[in-house]
Amino acid sequence: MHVLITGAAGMIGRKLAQRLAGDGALNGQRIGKVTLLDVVSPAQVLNFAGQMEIVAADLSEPGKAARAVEARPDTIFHLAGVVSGEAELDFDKGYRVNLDGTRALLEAIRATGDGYRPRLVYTSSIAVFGAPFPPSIPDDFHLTPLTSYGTQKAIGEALLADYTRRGFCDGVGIRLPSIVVRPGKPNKAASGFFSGIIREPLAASSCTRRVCRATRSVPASIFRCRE
Amino acid sequence: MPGVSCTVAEQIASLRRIAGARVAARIRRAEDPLVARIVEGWPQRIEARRARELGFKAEGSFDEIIRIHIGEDRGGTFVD
Repeated sequence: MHVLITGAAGMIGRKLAQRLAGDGALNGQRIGKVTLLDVVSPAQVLNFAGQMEIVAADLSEPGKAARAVEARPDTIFHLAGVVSGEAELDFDKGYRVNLDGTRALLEAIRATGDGYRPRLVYTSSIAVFGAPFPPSIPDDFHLTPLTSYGTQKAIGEALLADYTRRGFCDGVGIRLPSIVVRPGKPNKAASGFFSGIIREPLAASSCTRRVCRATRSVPASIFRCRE
Repeated sequence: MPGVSCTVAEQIASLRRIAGARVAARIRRAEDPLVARIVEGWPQRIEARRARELGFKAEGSFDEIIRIHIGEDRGGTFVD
């Protein structure tokens, strides 16, 4: 099978690529080819026996999504996106990447036609929910996002469901909680400091706590997420 | 997906428990209104029933999340 990962240079993309390359199979099927796509060239993953393709492309640019699905990947992990803080600060970029890029990918899949119906794994976020909250939020709690990022993710979920209902893809949406502890340098995710307050002190760097100590969140580790 | 529901103070207490007071003392307070506003509008507890039924699991505690980070991303060590 051929697996395409968008956002493959990101924190989850890198871990997922390493995991798939190491396993060499997904759901019991041998992975013959992996395509790693991101706006910057993702790093090669070394321990993979099959074919590995590296693509630098922005899915929101004309023609790029069509080229990404041209080889008809069987499974697509659509992780590409602008993080929450950045989507809030740059309205245009957030909608372009998170909404237009996702729509372009879905449209490219639909346009392929000819019985093409890939498994599409979409990473949504618990930011689709908005306060006020009950003590614990059930799966079917109404979607009232309070950020542009959450709004873009909620629209993506609706698109994924509709394109699946219409038979264009086999969509699975996963709402990720705050992923900690993220490797690498801080990014503009509003939740990034949750990683920073653990990662930086352990590396002997100082870091800053951006919210009140009583702020409650729902972290999970990246190593669970890639299961 | 499920996650561990905990406060920032509990997360810092976890870090102190696992890595010691010297490490935890490297955290400085610098509240950012934009980040605070975004994060405070997010869920504090999620059921994630369907995800759990599909086999997704969260860690049992925030301590476990820190231990995984030290083990998998830092080669089992940290700077005291």
